Amino acid sequence: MSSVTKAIPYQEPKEKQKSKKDAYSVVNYIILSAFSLIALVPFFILVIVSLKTRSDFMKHPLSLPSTLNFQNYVTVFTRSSIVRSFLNSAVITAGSLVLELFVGTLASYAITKMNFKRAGFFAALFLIPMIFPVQTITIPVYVIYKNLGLLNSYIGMIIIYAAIGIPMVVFMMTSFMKTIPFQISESAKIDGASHFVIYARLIMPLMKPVISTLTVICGLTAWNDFYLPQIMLTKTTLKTLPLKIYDFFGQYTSDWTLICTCIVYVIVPIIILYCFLQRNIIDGVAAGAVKG
Amino acid sequence: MKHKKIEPYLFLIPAILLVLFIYLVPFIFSIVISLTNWNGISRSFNFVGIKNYIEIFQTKELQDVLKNNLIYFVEIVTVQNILGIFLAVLLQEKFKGKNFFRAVLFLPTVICTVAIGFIWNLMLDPVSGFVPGMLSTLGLEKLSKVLWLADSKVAIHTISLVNVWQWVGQSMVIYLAGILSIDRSLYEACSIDGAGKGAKFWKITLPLMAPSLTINIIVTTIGTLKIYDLPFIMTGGGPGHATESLAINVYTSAFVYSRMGYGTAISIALFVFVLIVSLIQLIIMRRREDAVL
Amino acid sequence: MKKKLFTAFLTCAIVIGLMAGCGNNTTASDSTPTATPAAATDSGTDAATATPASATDDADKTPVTITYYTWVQSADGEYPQNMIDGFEAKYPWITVDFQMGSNTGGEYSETQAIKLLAGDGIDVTTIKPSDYQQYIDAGYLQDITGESFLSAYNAAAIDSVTSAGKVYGIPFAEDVVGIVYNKTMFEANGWSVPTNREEYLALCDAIAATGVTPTVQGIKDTWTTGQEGMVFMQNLYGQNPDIFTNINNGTAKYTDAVVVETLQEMQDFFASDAVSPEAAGLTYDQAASYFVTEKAAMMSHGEWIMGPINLGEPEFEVGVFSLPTNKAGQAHIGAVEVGQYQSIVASSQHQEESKLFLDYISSAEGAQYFADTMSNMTPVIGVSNASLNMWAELLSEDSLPFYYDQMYSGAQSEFLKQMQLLYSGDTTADEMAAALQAAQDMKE
Repeated sequence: MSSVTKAIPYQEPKEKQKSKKDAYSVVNYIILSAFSLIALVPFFILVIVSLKTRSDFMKHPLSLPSTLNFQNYVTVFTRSSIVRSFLNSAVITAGSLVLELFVGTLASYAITKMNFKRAGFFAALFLIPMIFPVQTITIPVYVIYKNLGLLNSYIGMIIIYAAIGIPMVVFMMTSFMKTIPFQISESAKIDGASHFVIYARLIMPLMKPVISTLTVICGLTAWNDFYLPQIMLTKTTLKTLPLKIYDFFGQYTSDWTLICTCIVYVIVPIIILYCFLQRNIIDGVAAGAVKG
Repeated sequence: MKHKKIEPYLFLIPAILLVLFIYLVPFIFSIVISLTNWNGISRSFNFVGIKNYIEIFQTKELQDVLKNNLIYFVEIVTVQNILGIFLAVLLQEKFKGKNFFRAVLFLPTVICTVAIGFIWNLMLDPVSGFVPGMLSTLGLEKLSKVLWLADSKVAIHTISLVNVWQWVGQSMVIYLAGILSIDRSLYEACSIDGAGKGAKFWKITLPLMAPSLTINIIVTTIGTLKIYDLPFIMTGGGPGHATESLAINVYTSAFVYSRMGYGTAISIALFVFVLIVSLIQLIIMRRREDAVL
Repeated sequence: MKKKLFTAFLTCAIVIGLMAGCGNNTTASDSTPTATPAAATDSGTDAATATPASATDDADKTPVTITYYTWVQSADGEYPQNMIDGFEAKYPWITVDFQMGSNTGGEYSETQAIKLLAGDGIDVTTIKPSDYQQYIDAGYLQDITGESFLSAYNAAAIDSVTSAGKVYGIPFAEDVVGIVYNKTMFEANGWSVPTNREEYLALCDAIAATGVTPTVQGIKDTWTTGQEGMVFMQNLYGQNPDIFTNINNGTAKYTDAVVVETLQEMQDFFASDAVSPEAAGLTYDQAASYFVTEKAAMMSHGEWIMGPINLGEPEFEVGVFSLPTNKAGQAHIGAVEVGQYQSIVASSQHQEESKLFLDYISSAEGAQYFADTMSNMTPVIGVSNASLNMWAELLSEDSLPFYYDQMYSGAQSEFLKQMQLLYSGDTTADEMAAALQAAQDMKE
């Protein structure tokens, strides 16, 4: 029943719907604004705390800062070698994303588009690592990595995050790829295209929204993770950004203002990535081949 | 022709190898350890067979913790998905500020869990917290006195809500991706037939959103049955065991009680349980997808 | 188009990865004792500024790097860096690779256990007392009985690190628990410091009558609940010194009358006006704020609480008096213990250098860094932190180590959680005792 057609931007019959639309839109705005407020307040708090001095925070945790103390940002920048840690996080996250998106989409294509007997089995197989708790893999992987010399390495972390991310990629991709009608790949095959070409030139462009979504979701997992880097990366020069947050936890006292500042540093890149990708999700275009 | 038969597997092999490299040994290792009394520290242990598994089914405490997991599961899966769909539907149209709202509503998902725990502790602090303060100004005195994270009857629901707050952005984004993949001309055709917004949603949007529904339901199910980070950071599983999840219990049994063998057995049992639930869900939802699409 | 983007990404990631990888390869790995060019130049310059007499000796020594794994640091990162700098200045051919583990949720034990298990190249590491015996049993710690630097410590401290007659670590931080109080408020109201339990309870009533919360304890974080129970449980331990040993070997139970009696005393205390109901929701830092803003008059804590309190810049004089554990007629017992140990890993390739490091930590110079920067006390004889003088007076009393550290780790964990429920009235002394015994029975 569903067919994929060229992009026709959706247009409401103008006059009839205009007044209805205005009223409806106002309600929409109110609802969305309310939810946005709830979503934003905690972020405001983070920024407020990061702009306070330590004693100010101890005395009045949630009040607006009496003076804007940007010093924290400077302190954290130098003490946590933000540039270096950012680079580490960026390389590991980007590397794992490239790996898992490439490898995962290949596998998804095979499962959905290359008619073969055990497709269903493999689809379910990739579900298993998603359920397996990360803590359980730590000790064995640590020992394996130690023996292979993969501790304290970019490639080691990239492989782990890719392995963790592939199930999600496959899971999402197979669900969406299935909605692309079989005729599309069939007609291309009849034209003599190889599977890889169909995959790269036909199917993947249709999956742009999904890929952007996966980039953000899987990228987040790798970017924010501190559990694995804590054990696998002990060289200070290799530490990722989230690990730096824990440097500000003293044994009995913690400087929450600095912790919040560091958290802001960790959050901002992902927000930028998300905003960037959002603009690239082209609305309503499941562009592709001709209907029928 | 032989080439054609192998081809699917060629596409699959990189993914399979990568996953096996990281997961195979830990998987086998965990099963082996669950049959021992290893304490997680020394280099020696003894095999005890399925003694650990028998103990799991006899421990009342684990049943209480399972109840917590079920509360998390029911509350989070329903609220987060309904809210996610609702927000995605609101945000599918082109209108001014659409990108702003999409970004803002996704913001909580971006913040790491440590920060979320800290922020909400501050917000819910009974003395100077934002939420009690606001409730008080609104005149809701009784509500403002509630100990959101320290009252053993309330804490678990608080954590469920915070979890929804944190992850609804992710659900929304996946639902958006699903909605945006729906062919626009279908709506146009429906309009011509005189259908209103409601009918459009129930007859077109929701059914054709089936893939994202499948993904979100399964991902949130797995997430809530495996839940660890948020309860651990917000309350450590307390007060008492009121917010403790099975995954937290695994950690405590393995590392605090120094019973790695027993803890791993709980972890394997949890794994099997979640696997069965997910597979059932997967089969049901895939059948639905095929019927609808 | 997608492919181009992908290839670009991939190439970038690989190139950066390779560049970084190359960068990593030039630094020596932790466990090999061979020299690296970087280290050699450092020791060269340091030796030049050291006393001329030792210059030639030190310059001949092969540069060595020892790895120190710990979670103990001050929030501004000054300690242990200042101590390490002092050590490296004294022994120019040794570089300390300092690795910080985190312990916000107690996970330090876990990561440390994995590293020791896998034979990571750690040389010196900080040990939590609760993990000490297990590491000894597993053979991970080096026997340092009889080493010269052990003489820097008082007898009681050495006692705590001795297991079956041997010593496997140096006592590091000394902790003492007392009741911190608002001296100015006490004087203004004419309240006097209690000398026994009855006086303490009466004092709480008097304070409550003025509308101020007598004592606050943020018990949202489980570890602080142990402090809340100090006055009562430490007395149980003091009057029955074998109680925990017996529970651990099975000849006594948590459900025995003597234990339940103490649990009941706590239940009654929590149900009274002596404690604030809101405290159940306060974290450690928030409780300190509560005290600093004078909403409460007292806190039961160790000397570590001075850090958060001073940060809040209290506008009153802060004092401390010893725990009113004893009921009238009983002998008084305090709570003092060594909070962390420092040990050498048995498989370390740098035993000599590691011993020098421990020796430095035990020296007046090394220990002074700790005392000053960490607002902690150290068991090194002769070293003290002037700001903690009023706590030092508590050290001289009759005392036992903290009661909760005598418990089996599982029972201790359960105890701290049950305290949260007892505090809010969600459990009773009997139920708590039963839960404790159930946790004890899980011990293998």
